[in-house]
Amino acid sequence: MDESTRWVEVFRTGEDFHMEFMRGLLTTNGIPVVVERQGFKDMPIILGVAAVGQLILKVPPDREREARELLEAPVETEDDA
Amino acid sequence: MTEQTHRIVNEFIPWTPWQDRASASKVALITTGGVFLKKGLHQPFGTEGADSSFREFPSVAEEGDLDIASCAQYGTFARQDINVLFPLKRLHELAEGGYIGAVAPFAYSFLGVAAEPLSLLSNYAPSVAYRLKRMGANLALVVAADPADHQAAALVARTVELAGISTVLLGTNRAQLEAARAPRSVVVDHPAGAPLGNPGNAGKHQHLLRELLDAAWLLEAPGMVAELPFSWKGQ
Repeated sequence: MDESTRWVEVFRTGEDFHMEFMRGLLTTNGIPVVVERQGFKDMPIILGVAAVGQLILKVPPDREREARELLEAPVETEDDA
Repeated sequence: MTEQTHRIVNEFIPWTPWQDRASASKVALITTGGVFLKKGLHQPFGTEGADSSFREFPSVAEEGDLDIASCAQYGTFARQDINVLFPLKRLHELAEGGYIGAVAPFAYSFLGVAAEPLSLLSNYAPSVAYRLKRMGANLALVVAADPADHQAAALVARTVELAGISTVLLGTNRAQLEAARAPRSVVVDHPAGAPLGNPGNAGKHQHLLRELLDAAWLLEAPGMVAELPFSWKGQ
């Protein structure tokens, strides 16, 4: 299977909430997604357990351009209106 | 007699590369929806969680010949349209349209959760895998009727994959699917009991199946979960 027939990475982060936002942005615009967890491991800390690693957001190759446009579009805030 | 419980540890994920595109694949259907043949042709399922057996259907079975186990609490939608969790007719339509190569001559149903994983793994799931292998299926579509079934569906998918047949599991709960670790999974935002979507919406069911097959084809590593932008709202 060559690269053109694989899901393509369009975004990565270490933050769950950031990934959830971007994932929701794409799926609500009709784009299928895959979220991969890379290098995740639990780190015991004083107040509980934190996870370290990367979350990678992927889309089908034929939706990459559309996904990047959505992810890179400036976010409008109430101040802009 | 002491009751034993077994904990499922989802570590090893078998992987059989899906070699042929959907249009050249013979696709087999497996559901956890508790489907059986009416008119006494099948023994009805027992209690959910205690019955790991399966029922086998000729793929030419008509919708009117099928029923849902009475203990399947999620059966409300399926009693209106069995295709919401056992899309045999939809697969035939895809085959007629050339989107898939063929529908495997037999389809299968389990019932619900994997409360008895040992009998499922040592007996029933390998039996289904063997039958699929004998009939030359290239791909098995495993439909988890309910989020509680995702683990059982994943165990069946892993067994079938281990037998050398690619699988894709359709479910409705992303966290459960990620935990169950089937070889290939696809999740949609549909309610329990209707992973394919609204009863009677054949167009949506077909669209979802086409998107599912496209998404599954691109999954290149074991355990990946693709999320499709289908939802219950606005249909």
